[in-house]
Formats: sequence, structure tokens, C-alpha cells
Amino acid sequence: MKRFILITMLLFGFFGIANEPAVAGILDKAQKLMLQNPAEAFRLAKTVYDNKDVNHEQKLQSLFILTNTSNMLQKPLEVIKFGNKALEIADYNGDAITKIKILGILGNTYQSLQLNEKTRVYLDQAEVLLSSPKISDSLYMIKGNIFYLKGMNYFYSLDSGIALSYFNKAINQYLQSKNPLAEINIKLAYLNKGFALIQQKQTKLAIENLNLASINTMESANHYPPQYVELQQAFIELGKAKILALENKPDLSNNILFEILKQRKNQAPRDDIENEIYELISKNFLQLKDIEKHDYYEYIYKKRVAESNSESAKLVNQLILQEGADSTSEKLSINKKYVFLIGLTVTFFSIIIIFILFKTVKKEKIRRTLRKEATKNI
Amino acid sequence: MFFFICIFGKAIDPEKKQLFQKAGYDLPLMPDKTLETLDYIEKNFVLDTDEKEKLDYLKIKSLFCQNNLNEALKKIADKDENLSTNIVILKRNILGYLSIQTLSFTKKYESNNDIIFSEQIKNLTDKVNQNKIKNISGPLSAILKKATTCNLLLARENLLLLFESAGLKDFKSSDYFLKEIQKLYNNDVEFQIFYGHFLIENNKLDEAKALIGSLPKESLEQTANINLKYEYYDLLVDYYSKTGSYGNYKEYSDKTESILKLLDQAKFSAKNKWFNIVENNYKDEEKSLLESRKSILFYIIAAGSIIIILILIRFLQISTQIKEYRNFISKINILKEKKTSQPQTIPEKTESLLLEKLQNFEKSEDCIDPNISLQNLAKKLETNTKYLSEAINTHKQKNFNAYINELRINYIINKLKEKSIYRSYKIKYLAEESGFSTHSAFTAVFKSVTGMSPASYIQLLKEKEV
Repeated sequence: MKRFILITMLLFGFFGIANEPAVAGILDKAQKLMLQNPAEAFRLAKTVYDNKDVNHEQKLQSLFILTNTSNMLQKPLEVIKFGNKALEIADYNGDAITKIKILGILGNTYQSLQLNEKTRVYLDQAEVLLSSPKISDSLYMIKGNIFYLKGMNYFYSLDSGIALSYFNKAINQYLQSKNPLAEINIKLAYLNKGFALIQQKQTKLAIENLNLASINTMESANHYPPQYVELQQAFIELGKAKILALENKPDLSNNILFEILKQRKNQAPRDDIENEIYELISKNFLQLKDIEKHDYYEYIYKKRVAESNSESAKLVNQLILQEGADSTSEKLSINKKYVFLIGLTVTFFSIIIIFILFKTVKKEKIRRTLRKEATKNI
Repeated sequence: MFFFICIFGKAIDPEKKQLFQKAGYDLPLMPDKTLETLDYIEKNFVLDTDEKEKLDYLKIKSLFCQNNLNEALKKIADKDENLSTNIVILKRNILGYLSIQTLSFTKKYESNNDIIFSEQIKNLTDKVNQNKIKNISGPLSAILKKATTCNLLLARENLLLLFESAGLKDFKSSDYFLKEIQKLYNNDVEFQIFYGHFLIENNKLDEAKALIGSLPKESLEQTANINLKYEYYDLLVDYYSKTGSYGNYKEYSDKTESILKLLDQAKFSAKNKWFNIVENNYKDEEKSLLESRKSILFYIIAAGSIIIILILIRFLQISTQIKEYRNFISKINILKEKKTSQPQTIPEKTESLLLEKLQNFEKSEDCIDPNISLQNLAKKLETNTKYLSEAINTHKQKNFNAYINELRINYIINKLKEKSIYRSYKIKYLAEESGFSTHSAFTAVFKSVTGMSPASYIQLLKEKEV
């Protein structure tokens, strides 16, 4: 699942230079640090965001960096918080490109929380914006990213056919892009296209795509983010192991899988790849009629999935609580605004009513006196 | 088989009662049948509030058992305070199954026995799962004691979770509890399946084999209760794993895997659904708050505007009346001044004779004749039009038309003063009575003579008499 997060880490670089030199300097520095030191970039962007003197454009830039770095630091709740604020400002400024980028990151974040429907809402919005006349045809990279994320969304809702068409669209866009990051993202698109083809049991095509997903660091001039190459390679190997399992070669498949586990021993654990490895090992042992080992790896797999689900549930629960808190504060602000408006209206009408009532009473007194006089003379 | 206990001990129609019992009885193994029975009850019987609650409860539970979580969630989407106690407990069970955290109970439920018991079981289950309890037999006995007197239908899901946890953690200490709970839920196949797992875990394979043999295999294979089917197949996987029967193990392992996928997909989709429900509930709350505040503001503006308009109308009425009174008073004053200073310009003999005749004419009611003209009157008074016109101009300070109009208005004023019935006549009639051809001419002349409209004058007369 975290494969998603990787892609936004590699894209969505930012835009203009800020007007105010000191703020511009900080934002520029934060932007440069985004890939190498997201925590520091987050800290710098936060100082700009908390500064009340910055203009709308700078606020949007800082929010964009905060959203992006929160995404890299795997803090989904922060991504949603800053992303929605950035979306509001981008919407207010009519900045369609930033809006698409933020919608993409938000969609990606909801996907990582397994909130598929919500993901689709954001990605659909982004896709609609992509076809608007405001968006230049040359924004291949942004288009490619949105198509890639939509492809992943369909892939996770088990509609690999539609997923494939989106991966193809994404690849087509990346191929036309001159952005150096497109070279990295296209590898991810090929990788996941390969996985979608495995799901459809099209093993030959899957192998071709897995090969295209492979990175030759010697040939490439790109500076890849840390651990990216190893992780990409591990996923490619996992794909190959899946193909072998489909071809009824469980022992060969397991050899690859154990090799991946061995190589990943000293690296930070990642649920997405490791859970799939344990699941496949367990299935392969079942094929090999080794019940004991099947039971063992199945137990590990189920335990890990339960832990992942529990973590994801915790985040969703926190998100629900955050939504509740946001809603309470929104209700408070509505109440505050309307109490003020109601008070103002009541005061306004009271003053007018008292004034004209006073005038009327005065007139009435005159009328009564005149009536008395007129009655006398009638 | 799991027996149904009527939740709301009221005397009901025997047929209805029987159908409700059947719905509850079918629930674990045939939740689809339960739903059919409940639909039949709903269509063919009149239900009171308690029965409707019971029906809703069983429907939600049936949907839950059939893995139709999205539909079940729709039915529990409302706030706790708007749901009955049994549905609140069920809601928490379903959300717990989806790992969705729930807020603590509101005051409405704090003293409810079913809620208190469900929380006790849940707390003990959490402690057992987190290994926070050393000797579980004491707490389990306490739960068991309460379970014998509680509403078993409501407590079932929580007791099932405790049953599973207690058996997995410490089978020896919990064996008595497990057996007694099974007795309470006599024939409830889900408890038996869990018990089978514990027997296998504790290497009591012969007992497990006997238990598996006693299970209704065919019903379990065909059940619409997906979770139950999964547990059954999982029990068989466990059993064949221990006995080393690869063929059976593989068969049931594949089956559990495919069911697990279905369960995971449903859970995944339900979690999305619940998030949307929560989000929509929050949005609806904000929307309704905004609408209520807007309507308060609208009512205040509307009420304020109406009050202002009403006061302004009264203000204008008063102003008009003041203007009329002022005109009236000034006319009166002019008349008074005229009476005091009358110039003497015409030769005395002719003039006095003509004035005498004019006085007689004024006393008569001939002025109301609509055909009267200067010529007619001159002929009637045996003079010429020149003398008559001059006399009127000199002594009455007005032309002939104004003189006749004033006489007519004075005529009608006298009538209004003398005969109160005239005050109730329409202005049109008063105009005709006083010799005017039109209603508007009468009103205009009346206003120019008196300074106020006929209606105001009549009003003033009425007020004077009061």
C-alpha cells in the first residue's frame, strides 16, 4: 500500500519564487530539502505558514510543502489537514494546477488509509480539472501522476482491467514529459501494470513490464531517492515470484521470496511488500504439501495483516475523530457568526423601531390635541 | 441450535410470537430465512414500537450475518440517542468488528443493565487479549453468573468474543466457563465451532472429531452466514492440519482463503461506507445548524420589517389625520373671520330684497337639485343673473358654483349631524343625496369646504358623540 506514497515523493515540485526575499529564501530552501530531508523542509515551511505577514501565494506554497512533506513522512492526518487548507486557497486563487497536485496527494493519502471511495472522489475531481481548458496539454507529468493514482485506485478495488487502461494512460503521459522525475515515475507505472497483468494471469506481458520497471542506475543520470532502487527491485522480484507460483513452480518462487526477505533484513520493515511475500510463501508451501510450514507462514502473514489493519484502523479512527473535532469547531464558528449577526440585526431593528415608535407617539399626541380642537368646532 | 428469547417480555399475538421465534432461531445458520420471515411479519402484522425495534434488531443482525455490512451500517447510521438500547449494543458490535472506535455511552444508557453487562464483557475481553489478567476463572465466573439472568440475545456477540479469547489464552481455567456458556446457548453452532478450535489447540483430537461429527455439515456448507461458514472451514483446516490429511487440508484451506477474501472485501467496503456515513452526518449536522440559524435570522428580519411597516403605516395615518384636522381648523377660522367682517357695497333696496330671497333659498333644500344653475336660480328669485352673481360674489365672497357646492356640503353635514343613520351610508349615496353627480366631485368639494375627507369627518362626528 505504501507504494503510493513513494510516487508523490517523487513529483509535484513547486512553482514560482516568493516576493518577500526572507520568506522566499526559506520557501526555496524548504523546497530544495523536500526530497533529501523532508522533516527539515516541513519545519521550514511551518515557520512560513505560521507567519501572519505572508501573502496568499506564500501561504499556498508553504501549505504545499507541508502537505508534500507530511506525505513523505507518512503522516496521513497531517496531509489531510494541510492538504484541505491548501485546496481551499488554491480554489480561492483559481490555481488549477496546484489544485490538481493537492487533489492527487489527498487521493493518495486516503488510498493509504484504505478509504477507496473517498480516494476516488478526489481523483475524479483532479481528472475533471485535467480536461479543463485551463490546463495546458504539455503538463504531461501532472496528468501522468493523476492517471497513475487512478490506476492504483482501481487496482486496489480489484478492477485490474480498468487499472491497466489508466496505467497505460499514465505511461503515455510520462513518455512525453521532459521532467526528470517522469523517468522514475514511469518505472512505478510499469511495475504496477506488471502486477495488474499478473492478476489477470497474463504472465508474458507481465514479465515484459516488470523488465521495463527495472532501473539501471549506471545508465540513468537521475538522482534517485534513498532506498528507492532497492525497493523497486524487490517489488520486481516479488512480481517474478508471483509469476512462478502461477506457473506451478512454488519452490523456485519461494527461493526468490526468501532472497528478497534476506536482502530486506537490514532495512526498515514495509508492510506492503513483506505481507505479500509471507502470503505467497505460505501458499507455495501449501502447493508443496508442507502443511507445517504453510501453517507457520500463514500465521505470520495473518498476524502481520492484522497488525497492519489495526494500524490503518487507528488512523481511520483518528481521522473520524479529527473530522468530528473539525465539525464541532465549524459548528461553533457558525454559531458564533450567527449569534453576532442575530445580535446585530436585533439591535438594528430595535433602534429603528424605538425611533419611529417615539416619533409616532409624539405625532399621536399632536393628533389628539388637534382632534379635540376640531371636535370643539364641528 | 441457538434458541430465541423474546427480548421484550410482552404478551403478543401467538402467531406473531411464533414467527419472531422462528426468525431468531434461523438467524445463525439461515440469516436469509430470518430476513424473509421478518419481511413477512412486517407486511402482515401490525407492530407496536417494541416489536418494530425487535424487528429492526433482527434485520440488522441478519444483514450482518450475511456479510451485507453496507446495508447493516445504513440502519445503524443514526446517533446513539435516536436508537434503541439493543440496536446501540449491536451497532457497537458491528463497528467493533470493523475495528472502528466508538465514543463512550451517553447518560441515557449509563444505567441500562444490558449496556452495563455488554461493557463488562467487553472490558474483560480486552484485558484477556492484552494479557492484563492473571487468573481469569474468577472474572469468568462473575460473567457467567450474570449471563444466566441477562438477555442472551443482546449479550451473544460480546460473549462470543470473550468465549474465543478466553479459550485461546487459558483453556484450562476457562473450560468450565466455555462449557456452561455452551449450555446457555444450547445448540448455537458458532460456540461449538469455537470450542472445537480449543479442543484441537489442546490436542484433544478425539473430542474435536466427535464435535465436528455432531455439527450440521450440510447446513454449514450452505449457510448464508459467511462468517460462520469461514469459522467452520477454519475449524476443519485446523483439524486436518493436526491429523496431517493433506487432501482435506488443501480443500478447506482454499475454501477459507476465498471466503476470507469476501469477508475482507466486505469489511474494506464497509469501512469506506462508515467513513462516508460519519462524514455525511457531520455535514448534515452543520447544514441543519446553518439552516436553523439562517431561519432564525430570517424570522427576526421579517418580524422587524413587519413591525416597522406597521408602525410606519400608523405614522402615515396619524400624519394624514393631523393634516386634515389642521385644514379643518384653519377653514373654521376663516369662516369665523368672514362672519365678523362683511362689506356693504350693493344698493340697499335691491340688495336687501335679493339677500332676503337668497336666505330663503338657503333655508330650503333646493340647492340639492342637480339641475340648478345661475340662470335657473335667477329666474326663481325673480332677478337677473348679473345681480344674482354680484350679490353672491359680494356677500358670500365666492362664485355661484362654490356657493351652491358649499350649500350642498352644509346640507349633508346637517344631515350627518342630525340623523346618525346618514353616517352609515356610503359616500356615493351621500354625494347623490347632496346633488353631486359624482362621488369624487363630492369628496373633493367636501374636503375643500371642511378641510377633511367625508370619511374622516364622519369618524370625528362618531368620536365626538362617544
